[in-house]
Amino acid sequence: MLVFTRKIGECLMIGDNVQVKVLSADRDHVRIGISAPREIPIHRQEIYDVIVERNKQASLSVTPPKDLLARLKI
Amino acid sequence: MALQTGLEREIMANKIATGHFGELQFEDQDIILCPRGLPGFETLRNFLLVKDDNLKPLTFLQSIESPTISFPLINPGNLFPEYRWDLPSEQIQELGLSKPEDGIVYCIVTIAPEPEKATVNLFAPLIVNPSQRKAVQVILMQSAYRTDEPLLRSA
Repeated sequence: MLVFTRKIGECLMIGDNVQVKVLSADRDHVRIGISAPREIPIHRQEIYDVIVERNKQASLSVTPPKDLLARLKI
Repeated sequence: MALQTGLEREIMANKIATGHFGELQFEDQDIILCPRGLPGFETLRNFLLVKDDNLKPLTFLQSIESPTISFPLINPGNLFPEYRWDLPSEQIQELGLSKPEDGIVYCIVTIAPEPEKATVNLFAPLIVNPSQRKAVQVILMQSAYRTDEPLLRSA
């Protein structure tokens, strides 16, 4: 992992068009601002991880029980 | 010329041996492209939408590259009539939709052996552009929808 020390207000550039700026920091929290093209998805890691986990579970799904299908038909 | 694996040969013949649906034959125009894959499955790009009378009302997103993998989908419209959100403009563009209502919304279902334990991911729906045969799983960052909403809540 590439590691940088930045002061508040300082930035990093990732590629040509993603800018990461340290907005503020205290003991436990760092506020980060990201300027990036809209087509680049940006997510909190823990939220993305939940989606990954859900997708993995869904992909392992067993054959649906008959009574589930019956109850879904409205 | 590199040797083809059995799987590559089968894909070229548009035939896959799936985990759930046996052997599936398909046409090129049946293929749904997920340009970024799905979270956790970023390398899988090509899928089929499998509908089977015995599995109604579920539809399955079947991977072509990895035929043992498929995702059960449900159209949330009937079960969750209050399910509403705006498709972000970058995804409208990525899918090549001329208007957002042309997209078909599916939600991924996690099936459990007990019907009451089945859940549906309302937080990250799959949007399909049927005319360009493209799909993207959208994460509704600003919403309060759950990834594990009980599927039978309203049924």
